[in-house]
Amino acid sequence: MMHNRQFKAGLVIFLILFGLLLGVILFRGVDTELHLEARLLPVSLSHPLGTDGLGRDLLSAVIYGTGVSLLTAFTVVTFSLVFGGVLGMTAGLAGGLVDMLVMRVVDVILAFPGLLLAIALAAFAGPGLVSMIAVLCFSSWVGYARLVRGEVLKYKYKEYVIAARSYNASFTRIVGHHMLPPIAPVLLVQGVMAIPGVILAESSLNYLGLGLAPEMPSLGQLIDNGMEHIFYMPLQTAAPGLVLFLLILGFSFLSQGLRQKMER
Amino acid sequence: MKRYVLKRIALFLFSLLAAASLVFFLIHLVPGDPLVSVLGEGAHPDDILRLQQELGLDKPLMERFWHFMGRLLSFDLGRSLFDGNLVWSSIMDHLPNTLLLAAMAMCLAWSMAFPLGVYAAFRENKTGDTLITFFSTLGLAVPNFVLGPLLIILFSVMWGVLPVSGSGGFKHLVLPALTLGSSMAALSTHIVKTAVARELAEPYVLFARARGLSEFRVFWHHILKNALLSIITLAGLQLGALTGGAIITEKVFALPGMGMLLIQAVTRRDYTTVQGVVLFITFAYLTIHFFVDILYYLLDPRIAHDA
Repeated sequence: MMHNRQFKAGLVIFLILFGLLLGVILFRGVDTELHLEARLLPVSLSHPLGTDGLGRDLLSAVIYGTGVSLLTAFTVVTFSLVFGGVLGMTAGLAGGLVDMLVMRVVDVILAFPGLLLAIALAAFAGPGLVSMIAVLCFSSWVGYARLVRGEVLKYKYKEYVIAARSYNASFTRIVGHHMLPPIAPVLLVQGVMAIPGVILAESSLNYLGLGLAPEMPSLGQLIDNGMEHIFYMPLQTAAPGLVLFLLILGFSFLSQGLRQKMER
Repeated sequence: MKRYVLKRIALFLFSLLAAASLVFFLIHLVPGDPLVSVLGEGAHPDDILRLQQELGLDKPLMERFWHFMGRLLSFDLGRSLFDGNLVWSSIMDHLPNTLLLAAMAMCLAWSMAFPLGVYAAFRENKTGDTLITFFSTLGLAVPNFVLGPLLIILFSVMWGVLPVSGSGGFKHLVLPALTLGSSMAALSTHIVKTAVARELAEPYVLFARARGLSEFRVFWHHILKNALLSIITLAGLQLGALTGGAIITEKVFALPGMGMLLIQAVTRRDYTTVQGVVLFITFAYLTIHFFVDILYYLLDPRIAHDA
């Protein structure tokens, strides 16, 4: 795996990014308290990136936002992968009416263009971490369901599966021993490949003001707030923007490297 | 043959119906009483009652649902909860800006992506390809709301050649189109490169080259026709990214288009406008998708047998 250039590039980006984050968290601490009397302070020793429009230490806010992005990405991908995987497996194995119902639900969700469904749901559900994660899960499980269903149909009538059935292997044994081993790697790669997209969707919602409540910092929200002061304090937008860019780039490199590795 | 087209039409109609139903039920997601959140905590009970009657919320759910669907058939999206304007007419006011932005961005994207993608495919794994792939990967990792401010800092703040935001004339569209166009270009370059590279590995290309045809002829007469099929399908995927990207870009540059209308309606808790805009964009998206499917069939009737 280390011969893979893209994987290596992704790893390097992460080591630098997480090294910096961890260093700050351990040696400096994160303080996202609002200090309205200390708004928009310039860069100083006590505030290495200054303070934002709400009087928060910008460095702390950026780190907190990175944490929000990572937490959201992992939760959404894990939930969607498991939920979509189980539904896709059920649809593929059961066939008939169950298959049709699941796939029609998938069609309905796919009828909406990308971010629009998330925006619409978030608009009606209101802000908050839980509702934001729920909104993102709602539109992202369908991809895994489709993938797993397709894979199940591919293996369902393979000779070794039919053979296993013929000697009366249990349902769990067929799924666990004969179906999952070839499907799981494909599903996992799909999951890793989805991380940059989830981070982008999460930060987009926050940029539009539809994600977390205003007092909880997130990268998208910091970029939006920074736009008001872009003429004289471009760092307010640039710092969270750069971290978000590196986060997405790192995950894309990692996932592309991983996929190349799997394809070989 | 006919079956494919009929199946597409059925799927199209089903998607329209499903999207409309989902949007209708969205209002039930609002925590607590949606009317209280529209009118504010201290709303007078008479006002709530009046709004309830105006929106038909006092009627049973199914009756409201059929009423909603019936109005949709006559393009009636209701009135804004905020200022009482017809939702349809505010959509029509905001639509031209978005269409212009999307068209400019697409032109920009494809005029960059097509030559770059073809070049990268022909020089696969050589320096040119590596550079193009590297930059398009970078481009895909920059969100529109990061690229936009960056361009504003460069073109408006440092060099002062283009306006920062707002609408009015061609100049105001350059930076938004550049922002949206670059992210589209990154995606399209990948699409073009993959499609052309896949065709390059086919035996018919080897045969054409063995006949001594020039590389240009091999590309123009043999590869392009086949590659266009996958490019058209994948371009359909872009439509979703274009919609989301346009909403974000309009917010970055305060461009009064559909995206701004939507975001403004969300902050004002103007739920009827939100419903209307979401439905309008989704219907437009589904309609274009439907025509892409049909076009695909016309270009390559073989797919009717696979589907």
